[in-house]
Amino acid sequence: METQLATLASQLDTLKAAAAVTNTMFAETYYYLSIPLMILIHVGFLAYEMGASRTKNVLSSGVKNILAFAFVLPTFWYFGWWLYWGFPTGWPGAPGLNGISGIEYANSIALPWVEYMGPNIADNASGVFWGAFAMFAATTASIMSGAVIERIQTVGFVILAIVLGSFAWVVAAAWGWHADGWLVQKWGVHDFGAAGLVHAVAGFFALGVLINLGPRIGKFNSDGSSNHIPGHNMPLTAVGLMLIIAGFWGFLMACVIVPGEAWSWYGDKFSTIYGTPITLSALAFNILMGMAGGTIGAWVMTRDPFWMMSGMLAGIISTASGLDVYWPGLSFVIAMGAGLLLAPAAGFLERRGIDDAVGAVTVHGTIGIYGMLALGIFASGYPALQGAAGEVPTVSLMGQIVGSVVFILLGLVPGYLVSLVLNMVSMLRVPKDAEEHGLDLVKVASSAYPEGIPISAPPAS
Amino acid sequence: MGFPFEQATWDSVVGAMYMGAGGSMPAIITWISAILCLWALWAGNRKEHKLYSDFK
Repeated sequence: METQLATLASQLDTLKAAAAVTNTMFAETYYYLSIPLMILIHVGFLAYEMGASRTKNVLSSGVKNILAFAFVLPTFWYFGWWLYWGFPTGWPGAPGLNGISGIEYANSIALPWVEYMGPNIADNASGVFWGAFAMFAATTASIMSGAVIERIQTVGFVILAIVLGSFAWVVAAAWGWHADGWLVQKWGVHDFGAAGLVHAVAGFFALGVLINLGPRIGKFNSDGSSNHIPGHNMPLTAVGLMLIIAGFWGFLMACVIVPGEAWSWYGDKFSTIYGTPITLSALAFNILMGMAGGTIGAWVMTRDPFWMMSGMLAGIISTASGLDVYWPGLSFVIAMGAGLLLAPAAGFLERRGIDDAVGAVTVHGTIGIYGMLALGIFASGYPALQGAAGEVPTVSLMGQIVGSVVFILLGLVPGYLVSLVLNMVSMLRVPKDAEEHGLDLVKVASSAYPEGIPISAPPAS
Repeated sequence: MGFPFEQATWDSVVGAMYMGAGGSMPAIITWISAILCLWALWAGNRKEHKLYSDFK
């Protein structure tokens, strides 16, 4: 009898160990697979921006986009990841209440020469977490990329991409997308899908850059009226946007914390980064309804396929903050509002002399804030963190407003200041004659369409 | 560099397994790679300005 019990106990231990291994392998695979899905976002941005460029600038737009990706990844490894873990409580990087933040903690896990930042057989999490976040960083930088096409210098742009992708949004994430973040702890800021801390930060960063960069030659007339500068390949742009949306599923999937690991919030449930419960089913319902609402709203307003695809993206962004808690019908309504808002918001900017070539400031900046505020209206009172009633902050409209203001400033201020400095040292805008003749002719060794498609005509002088 | 453990067997690997683990090589290489990034930005910017000058 005792022998049988001992055997059963041993078998149970073996089963538990096997289950633990399976869970660890599942968790690592889950985040690993989110990474190639997020690379689809970059496939999409590449197609989208190249399609939105005139033929004379196609390849230089592509080069710029590829380089943003290439430089943000190592810089996020050098210091971006460390910033995220080091400063949730703000300066000077004191540890937070959950014990997973602060400079000392960041030094132990996120400095680029520590053992968790390379191959480690005992660590099935750090690399895939880092990889997912690095893809968030690269995505954030790519958002700015489209707004500034056809007149920005390559290296100046790369510097801006590094500042946005490895610094600005990271600080926003540390403060508003971390259980120890002061925006979460003090104000109950909730932004599950990063509408504010990625999209609004990137959109307003782009605005700061555009103020200094100036419009493309020929965009505005002397009386202030604007000219539409169509891209050379709308189908490529539309397909690019659809690819961004496909990749967005990987982005949102990576916003979820898998259960059952030492670093998980729960043993038996997925959770948000704040430790609040979520299911992938909730994401499926709300993302799809958001996509639909945004598309339909933009179609009603514009009937333009470019705006319809942007509307699909805006639909997801507008519901991103609350994908974990919205009723799907509400996601549809919020998203449709975003789709209806897009064209008027873009027109508002254009009438103020801002030439945003692809509507990035509107789709990401304006709609990102719209999404943050929508959550404050519809999900007020939800606990923002795990914990007993009365002991944790709750979501509120005021909290979402505070978070929105912080995210706007984290985007606009560095975008404006860094581009101002770049402009002063002649590293921001290409020379006028280079812009008129086409950046591909000047900067790129090869030709996009060596036969068949004519080069765009120079602007009338 | 090479296998960072005394015995040439995978049985001895229980944690970090990259070349130079436990020493200063990872930090040195990190700094070298960062300097290479900066050099690439400088060289790329210089080349771009040269292309504009040649174009003119």
